[in-house]
Amino acid sequence: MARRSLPALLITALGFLTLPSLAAAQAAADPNPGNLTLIGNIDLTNTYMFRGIRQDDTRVIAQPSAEMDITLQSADSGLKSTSLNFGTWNSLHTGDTGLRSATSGLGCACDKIWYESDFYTTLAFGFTGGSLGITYTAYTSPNAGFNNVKELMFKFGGDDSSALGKAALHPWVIAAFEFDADNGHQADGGANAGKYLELGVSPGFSGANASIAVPIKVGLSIGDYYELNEGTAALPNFVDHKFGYFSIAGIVTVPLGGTTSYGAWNFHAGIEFQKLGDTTKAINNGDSNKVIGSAGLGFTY
Amino acid sequence: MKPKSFVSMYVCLPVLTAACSLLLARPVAAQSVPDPNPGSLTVTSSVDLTNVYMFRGIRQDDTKVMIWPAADLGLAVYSGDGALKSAAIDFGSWNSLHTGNAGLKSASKKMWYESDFYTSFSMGFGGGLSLGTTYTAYTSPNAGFTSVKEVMFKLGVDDSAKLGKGALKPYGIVALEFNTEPGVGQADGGLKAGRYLELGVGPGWTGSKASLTFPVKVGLSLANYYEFDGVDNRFGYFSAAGIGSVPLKLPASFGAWNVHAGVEFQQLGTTPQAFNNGEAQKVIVSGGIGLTY
Repeated sequence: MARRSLPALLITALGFLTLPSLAAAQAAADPNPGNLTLIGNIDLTNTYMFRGIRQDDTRVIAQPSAEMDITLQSADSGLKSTSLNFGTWNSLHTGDTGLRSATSGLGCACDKIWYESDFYTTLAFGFTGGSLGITYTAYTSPNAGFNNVKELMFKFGGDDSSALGKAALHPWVIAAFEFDADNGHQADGGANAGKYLELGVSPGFSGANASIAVPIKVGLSIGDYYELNEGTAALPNFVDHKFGYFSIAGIVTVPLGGTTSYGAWNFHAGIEFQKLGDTTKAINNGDSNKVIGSAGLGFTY
Repeated sequence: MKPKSFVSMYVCLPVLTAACSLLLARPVAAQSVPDPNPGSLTVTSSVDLTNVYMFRGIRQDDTKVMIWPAADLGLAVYSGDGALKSAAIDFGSWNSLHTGNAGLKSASKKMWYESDFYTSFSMGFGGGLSLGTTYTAYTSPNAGFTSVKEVMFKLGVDDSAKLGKGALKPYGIVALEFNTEPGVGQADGGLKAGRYLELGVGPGWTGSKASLTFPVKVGLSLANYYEFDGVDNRFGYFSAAGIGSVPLKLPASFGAWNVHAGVEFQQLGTTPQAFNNGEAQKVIVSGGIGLTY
């Protein structure tokens, strides 16, 4: 149930770092100078955690995604850019919530691989010192692994690279609000629609042949986002726990050649550590730590 | 259960091609508009609304409104002046969202009736000849049908160079289902994997402000494609349609957009007629927006 996978998120973060080199390459021969941009990724991972909430940690998980960005406006100052984006993010599971769900008894128990398919659309504004994005996401599960979740998310990203140079932190803040959340249509399957807050930074280093990013973030509930049933199934008592998870990761991205008529391709791989709060720990079978490894291919055109 | 709507299949690409031809035919001012996407990747997308969804004559739903969003990414992998003029690989997704009996009003109450993934490898030869090979996985997120896997071969001829405005653009399709079991993984829900044959033409007319296309086709079972009560019926359906498309005047940097609408008539054979509650005819109305970039 994530709009973006860890690698995708980090690749986005790396975008800040790699822009200068990409710009140089694109100056040579931009295959797509128009107003539409395509972004695609295919990643493999061992564990799928959605904001600290474990979805699956068995066998291999493939996460293909695609996005089309439409640049509506651009300027040199003030409101520097406006774009409208549409995308889909998917999670295909070969383990307990996918091809082995009949054995595990999870979800549909139907051995179908397609655990998650998200549709999202974003209206994004770029300013001199940062950006603001408003995203609607419909998280759906084709194999009935979870109830559909609808969410409105606001993301503010700061661009401190002009002030801090290579020490830039690229901070961001996310506030997300679930709606139409009756009958367990929530990320935590709780009693009330959740409100989520995420604070993060993504320092990094960009070299000639590779880029490294070290995103660090914390996920918090600002209202019923991490509800834990401390009662029974018959007499539930949902208690909201403020702290959801803390995450630190390291990601390496290597461009595959320069920008060609097929766009700019890259290989990326990373490892992430998550420290879980009470609710997320309970969902993770009482284990408060999680290590996630992932790798994949990405392109921007 | 099809990779593209009939509007998308018969209208969007030809009409957009025609629209491009129109744009190319315009005077210098229009020609000076830079190509927004001179690279090797092409995006084609459309969203259509329709009252009836028939898959090769087999009724899927005819209640309330259906929405068909689709997107295709094409990679031009080769172009040359020899016998082989072009080669391309495509990846795409075609979807059907139902507000009626097969969707929001079904037992699952879920809208997403169908999601198809397909990939194709196509080659263009001299004389307008083209050959495409497509793998399609037809899936149903709301469990409206069991997943169907198919390999399809399409041979087409663009006879515009010879016949001009009288071009028929004939084509033939052979599609083979595989990985099936009785009642599972087949369009007809039959006992054996089906083999499908489609023969069609797509004549049309392109004007300065709009394009019209009149696709005519017949769908046949080569083997077990239209099974009913244990009997395979050869004739599946006959279809004739009329579709109009109007280019939208947007800045070229956003690609070529169009609005299109059409009406299709289908005469059904024994098996599709049985699936259609005994009715031998079906009229389908649809319209939508398309993009090529």
